[in-house]
Amino acid sequence: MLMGKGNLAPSVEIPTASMADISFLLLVFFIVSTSMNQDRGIGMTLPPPGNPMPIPKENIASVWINNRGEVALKYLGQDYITVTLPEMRERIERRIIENPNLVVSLLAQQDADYKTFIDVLDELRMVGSRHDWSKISIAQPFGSAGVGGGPGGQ
Amino acid sequence: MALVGGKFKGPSQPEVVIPTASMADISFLLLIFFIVSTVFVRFRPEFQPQLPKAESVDALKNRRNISYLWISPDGIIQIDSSLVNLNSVAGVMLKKIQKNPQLIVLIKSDEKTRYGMVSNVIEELRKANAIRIAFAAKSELE
Repeated sequence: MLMGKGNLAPSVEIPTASMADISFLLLVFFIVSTSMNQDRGIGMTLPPPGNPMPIPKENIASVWINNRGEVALKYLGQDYITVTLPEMRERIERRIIENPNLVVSLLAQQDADYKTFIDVLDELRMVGSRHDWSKISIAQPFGSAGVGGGPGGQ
Repeated sequence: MALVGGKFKGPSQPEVVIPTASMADISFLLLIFFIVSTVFVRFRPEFQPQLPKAESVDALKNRRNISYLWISPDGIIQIDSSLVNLNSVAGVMLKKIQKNPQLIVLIKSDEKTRYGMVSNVIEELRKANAIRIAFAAKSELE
């Protein structure tokens, strides 16, 4: 009691020296756990269940993919033509310019690879993005979807 | 002028100190950035599909609206975190659609999967009115 000032008030201070350490710790945790990769994909909207919309047949171009992964193209009243992907793009492109209402019906057989299907779909979308056109429909590989039978299946 | 104890030694050496007072601020700034931008991986597939490559891929922005559907080459189907068989896809999706009508189903199928399998799944999705779908693909540039 030399100072004679009652109890000595201790200086109250929150230690902030470790603040940087704590925040760095949290920082490292969030850096490590962040996944920056975004989901990417080819977006489509399916027709709602029920009544399919009638499409005039002269507007339909059918693209077939058979079990062996070969691609063929068919218009109304014509035979199918086996095409490579660049050929398909060229022909579809010409058709779209002639007829902007063209609908491409994509029909793959059951045993076709998913990869081939995506390749063709991608190619069609690339054509579409250049011509502001997006009328691609995915047909079911069985049932009533076939318009005149598929090409060269097994 | 008496030099006491050698106090003056020619040009004085400036003290070199890197200021660390702003360290905490900087790290908090980074911290906030990472907290905000973090999205945790929500579901792990039972198998890692080899996704096909495509050029015309879109980035799917809102992860809350995405439901994942994996299809393995053997035809095993997984929706989000549960394995399902083909017949129950429509039922599971119907519940999800009712919860969130904005749902996008991201189909993550292996590139070697038979197309028939994928097509069956698509037909099931249509039955459940899950008509917004996307085929997951890697960007060709990667």
